[in-house]
Amino acid sequence: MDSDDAALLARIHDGSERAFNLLIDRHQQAVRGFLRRLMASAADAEDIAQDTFLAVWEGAGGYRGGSSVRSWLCAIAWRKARSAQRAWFRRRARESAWQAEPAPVEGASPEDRLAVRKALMALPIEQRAAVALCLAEGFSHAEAAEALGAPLGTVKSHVARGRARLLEALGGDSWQDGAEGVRR
Amino acid sequence: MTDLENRLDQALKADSPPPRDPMFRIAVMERRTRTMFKRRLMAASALAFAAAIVGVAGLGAVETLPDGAGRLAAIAGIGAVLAAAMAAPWLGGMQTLRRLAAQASWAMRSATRLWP
Repeated sequence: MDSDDAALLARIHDGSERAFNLLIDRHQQAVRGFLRRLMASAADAEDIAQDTFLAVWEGAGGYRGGSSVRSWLCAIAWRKARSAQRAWFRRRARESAWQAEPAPVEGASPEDRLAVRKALMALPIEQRAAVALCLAEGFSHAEAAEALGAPLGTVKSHVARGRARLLEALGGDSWQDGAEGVRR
Repeated sequence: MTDLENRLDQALKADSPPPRDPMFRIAVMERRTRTMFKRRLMAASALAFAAAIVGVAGLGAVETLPDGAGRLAAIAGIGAVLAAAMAAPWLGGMQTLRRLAAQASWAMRSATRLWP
């Protein structure tokens, strides 16, 4: 898959729209999922996701290998999300009303989903990003560390602490669950 | 996995985007087209301004030339330059130039790194 993705990027660099479409189809779920959990506003998340793929179209030659294309895409998304963070803080108060509205739910109960969403938004952004990548998108700790440009130990610690806070929000014992998370 | 962990897992994955989403792809392509159009429009405006200056200055210089083939060639040359300047942004010329510039810059950096 990685060599396929690298070949796709090479074709995108040469201006192939078909390769660009394939890359979007292949990775939009991971990038958008990551951003949806990272950003308070779904509209901002979509905007940054589109911007991320646009940056790929313009700078596909910037991929140097070494990490998976998925991590590289999430690293671009992460940088864009960080630069949008200041604007996000300004709009946070306005958007808190949107957060309170329960959206259609599949699988999880509306209460759980809302509690997790609120707890996720209360986490520091680095911790939230690590949790979103590792617990929701299925990244390994090493992949998440590459995408976030953070040391592996820091990412592991962010995931364990974030997970403990989310479990606490669902009614779990934060100390026990957190300790369990750190042991893993 | 405990019940609590199961609930957390489900809640985290509840609003995942679909594995395939043509609407998102279309939105990205639309945005790309809009961005490219905006850039081309800006480039065309800048080139039109430059072309106007070159045209006025060129025609002024042509006035001083004596009648004959040289004068005709100069007028044709100015016309060709103006036409090329106006058409370049819409023919993908700017993108090609940008790619060439990026490749040249990359080659220069590589050569600098290799230089003893």
